[in-house]
Amino acid sequence: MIMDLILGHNQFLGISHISEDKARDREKKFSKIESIYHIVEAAHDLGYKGMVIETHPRMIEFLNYYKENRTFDLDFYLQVPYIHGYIQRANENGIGDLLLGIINQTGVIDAGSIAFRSLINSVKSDYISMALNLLKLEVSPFSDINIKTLLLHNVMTDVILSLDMIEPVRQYLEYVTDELDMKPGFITLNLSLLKIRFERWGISPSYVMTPINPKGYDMNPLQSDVERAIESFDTNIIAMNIFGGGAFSIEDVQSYINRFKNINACVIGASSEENLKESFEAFS
Amino acid sequence: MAIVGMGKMGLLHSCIFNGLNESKVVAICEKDKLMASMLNKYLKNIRIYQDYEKMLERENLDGLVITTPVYLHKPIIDRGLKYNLNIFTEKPLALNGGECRSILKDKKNCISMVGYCRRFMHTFKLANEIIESQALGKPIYFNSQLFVSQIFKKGKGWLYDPKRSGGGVLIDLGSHAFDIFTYLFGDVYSVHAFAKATFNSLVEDYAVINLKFEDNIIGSFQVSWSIRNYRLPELKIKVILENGTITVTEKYIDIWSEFERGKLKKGSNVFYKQDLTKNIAINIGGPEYTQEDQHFLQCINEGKNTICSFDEAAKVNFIIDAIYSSIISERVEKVSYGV
Repeated sequence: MIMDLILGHNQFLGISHISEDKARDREKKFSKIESIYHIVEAAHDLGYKGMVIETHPRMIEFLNYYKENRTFDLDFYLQVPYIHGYIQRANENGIGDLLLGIINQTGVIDAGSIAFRSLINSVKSDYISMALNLLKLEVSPFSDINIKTLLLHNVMTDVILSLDMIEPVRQYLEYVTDELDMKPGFITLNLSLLKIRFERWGISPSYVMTPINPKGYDMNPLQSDVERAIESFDTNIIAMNIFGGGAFSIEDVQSYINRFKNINACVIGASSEENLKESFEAFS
Repeated sequence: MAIVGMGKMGLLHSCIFNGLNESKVVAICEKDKLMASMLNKYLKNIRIYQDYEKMLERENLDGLVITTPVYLHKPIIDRGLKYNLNIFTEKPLALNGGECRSILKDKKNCISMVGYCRRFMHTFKLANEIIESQALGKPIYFNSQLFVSQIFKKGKGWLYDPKRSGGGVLIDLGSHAFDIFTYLFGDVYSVHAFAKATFNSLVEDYAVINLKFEDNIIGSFQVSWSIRNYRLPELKIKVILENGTITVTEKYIDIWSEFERGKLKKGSNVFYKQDLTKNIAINIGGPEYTQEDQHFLQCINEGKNTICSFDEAAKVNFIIDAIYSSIISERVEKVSYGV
C-alpha cells in the first residue's frame, strides 16, 4: 500500500517537541504568512496529498492567504477545537469572554442574532449541543476548502475515553456527519483504549490519528499493544509523531513505518524544502 | 478516589485516576452549579457533590485529590485528615510556611503527595541520577530560568490576589523550580532576591534570586510569567559539576562529560524526552501526570512515603517565605525549615 503524506502544521505555529529554542527559531522563520505558503506549495508540488490545520488564529491567517492566492488544491485535515487558546482565554478572562471571543473570531453572527441566542440558551440546558454549536462556529471559516476529515483534538478524545463517556462521542459523530457534512475523526495518544471503547460502544470512526514511531513514544500503554491495535483496526489510520519531533533518524522511522500495511497516511512536520523532499523519498 | 475542584487540573487527574486499571474515581466535588450539573449529566458512574464536607462524610475513600485554588488546600486537607485519608494536593502545598507547619503537625500517618510533576519528567530524573551517582563529580554552581508567556495585562481572579494565591509568579510557577532545586541539590541554606510587579500591583511578575545550599552549591534563578515567545513554561537549568556540565529542560538533557564514563561518552550526550519516555498506562496531559498519580497509588498500596510528600513539599513554601522576606528586607535571608 502506498501511504499518503500529509504536511503537519506545528512548525508553522512555533512548536517544537524537542526544544523551546528550536520552537522560537521556527516562530521567527514562519513569521510571514508567505513563508508558510511557500512550504505548503512546495509540499503540494512534491506530491504531498494534504495538510493538517487547526482553528489557531495564525492558521486562519494562512487560510485567508491561501484562498486569495490559491495556485494549487490540497485536502485539509482540520483539528478541533483550539484547546490551547480556549484554556488560555478562559484562564485570563473567564468562560463568558471565551464564548464571545469565538463568536467574534468567526465573524458570522452578532450578539443579537438568532444563532447567538440559540447558543446562549443551549448553555443553560444541553451542554453537548452547546459544544456542537461552538464547533459549528469554529469550523465556519473553513467551509469553502476541501476538508478531508474533522479530527477531534487528542485532549478531548482522551478525556472522553478515560471517563467512559459514550454520549458525547455519539452526538459528535452524528453532528459532524449530518449537520456539517464532514467525515468525523479522532486524534488520540491512547489508541488501544480508543479501540477497546469504540468496539464496546459499536462505533466505527472514519479516521484515527495517533503517534506511531520506532521508539514507541506515546504509543500507550505499550508499543506492542498499539502495534496490534493498528493491524486489527478497520479504519483509516494516520500516523503522527513519526520522527518524535526530530528525535529519531529517518532510516529508523522508514523501516518501522513501512512494516505496517494498515497505515493510510503519515503526518510529516517539515519546515524546509529539503526536509519535505527527504521524507517524500523515504515513504514513496 | 475523590476529586475536589474540577478546573483544568481536576479534570486531568480525574481522567488519569479513572483511566488507570488500579484506581477508579467514585466522587467529584465541584462548587460551580453549572459545571456540577454538567458532570452529573454525563458521568454516570461518578457521584457529584457541591459540598466537600458532605462528600467526605458519605463516601468511603482510599484517596482524596485536591485541585482547588491554593487558599482552599489547607481547610480541605484538614478535613481529609480527620477521615484519615491519603491525600494528593496540587502544588503548592499551602499559602505559606505557617500553614504548612500546621498541616505537618496534624498529618499523622497518611500517605501524602503534592503535584510537583517535574520530578516525574525523565529529563530531570536523569539529571538527578547523574548528580546522585557523582558520575561527573559534585555540583558546584548552576544558573537557571523558568519563563512562560502568560500574563501581559491585569488579570482577574484568585491567582492575582496574594491572600488566595500566596503570591505571584514565585509561588505559582517558581514553586516547580524550587522543588526541582531541592530534588537535585538538597536543602537551600539562604536566599537573596528581588522582584517586580508590573501588570498586577499585588503580585510579582518577575523575580531574580540567588541561592546558597547546605552543601555549599550556589546558583541563580530568574522566573517570570511575562516573557514573550515562551508558548509553554520552560525550566532550563545549567549545572557546572567537577567533571562536566548538565543542561536540562522539560524536553531534553545535554550531559557534557570531560571523559568517557560508563554509558556516557566524552563530550556531549543529548537525550530527548522521546528517547527516555515510554510505556505510559494512559496519556492525557503529559506522561509525568500519569506517573505521579501511579506513584501516589503505589505508595498507598505499599504504605510508604511518596517522593513529594507534604514534608518534602513544605520545603518549597519555606524557601518562598525566605524569598519574600528577602525581597522586603533587601538582605540575604536564611531558610527556616523548623516545624
